[in-house]
Amino acid sequence: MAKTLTILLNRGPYISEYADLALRVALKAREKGHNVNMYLYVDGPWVAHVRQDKPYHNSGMLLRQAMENGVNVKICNRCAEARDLVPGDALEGIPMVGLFDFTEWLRKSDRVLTFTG
Amino acid sequence: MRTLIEVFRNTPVGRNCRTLSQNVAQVLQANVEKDLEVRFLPLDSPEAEARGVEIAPCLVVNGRNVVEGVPGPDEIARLIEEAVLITLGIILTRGPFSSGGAEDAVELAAAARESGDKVGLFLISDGVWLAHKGQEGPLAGRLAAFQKAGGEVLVSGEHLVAAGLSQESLVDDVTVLPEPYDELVDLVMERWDKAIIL
Repeated sequence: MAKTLTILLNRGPYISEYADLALRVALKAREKGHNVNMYLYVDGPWVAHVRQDKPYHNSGMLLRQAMENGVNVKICNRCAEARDLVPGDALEGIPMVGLFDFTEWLRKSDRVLTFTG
Repeated sequence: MRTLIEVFRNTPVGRNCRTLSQNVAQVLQANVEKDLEVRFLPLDSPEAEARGVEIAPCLVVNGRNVVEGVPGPDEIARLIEEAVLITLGIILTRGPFSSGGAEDAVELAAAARESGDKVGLFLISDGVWLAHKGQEGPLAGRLAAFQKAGGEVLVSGEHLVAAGLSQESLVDDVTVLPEPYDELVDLVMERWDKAIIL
């Protein structure tokens, strides 16, 4: 039965495998018919900064795939602002929103996975 | 899942023990739809020794929530709620000596298993190194004890290959998963009640 999974990603790309792990889980959960939300928090918004195609595997590509497959993605607006990441820097179609959106997702989720630390 | 409520009493039964029994009875009455089992036990029982109970009255729920004295019906109801056994998933992404993550994961897994929860330890990314056989030190012993107590160890096949390891490189009785994300999503969404990533 379809359930709702919310993933909190606190890590940027290239510093650890967390962005890839989180996105691979998100893609698989979508494939299995679950509703999936992903909130990019702390350094997580940097994943959305990887916009261009690259001739090697990268988290930006996975994030685009995730969005194309219906994963709901949001960026923490304070985290983006603190890093001078403006909407034009990030992949198109990702709202920059406050933490209340995340808490709303938490409230409506069956499961939450936190990629942090 | 059944909840076991143990009421430890004095011999002969004192007034406080009677009050506690009445409070427990009230909770039972209000929760007839739940699967609750109550046992009244003396202080010199093997159960009292197993729980470390030395003073009566004392209430123990599922062997894990121990309260001395006379908790009221509301508190007893809360204790029952909190003591429910779960299936816990621990996802370890770190190597055994790169941070405290592996130690925390094994300690948490063993402690949860020992107190009755079902526990799955999912090794992914550098976490697969935890199951590498031939390691010395307390971590390896703790992992073995966790497995012996019925804990399940699952290893991402993809990351095992990436690390140049194979099933033969690992300790016994671990399950290598050729499609780790497929399994992980089913565990997180369907089979585990709670999941934590370390």
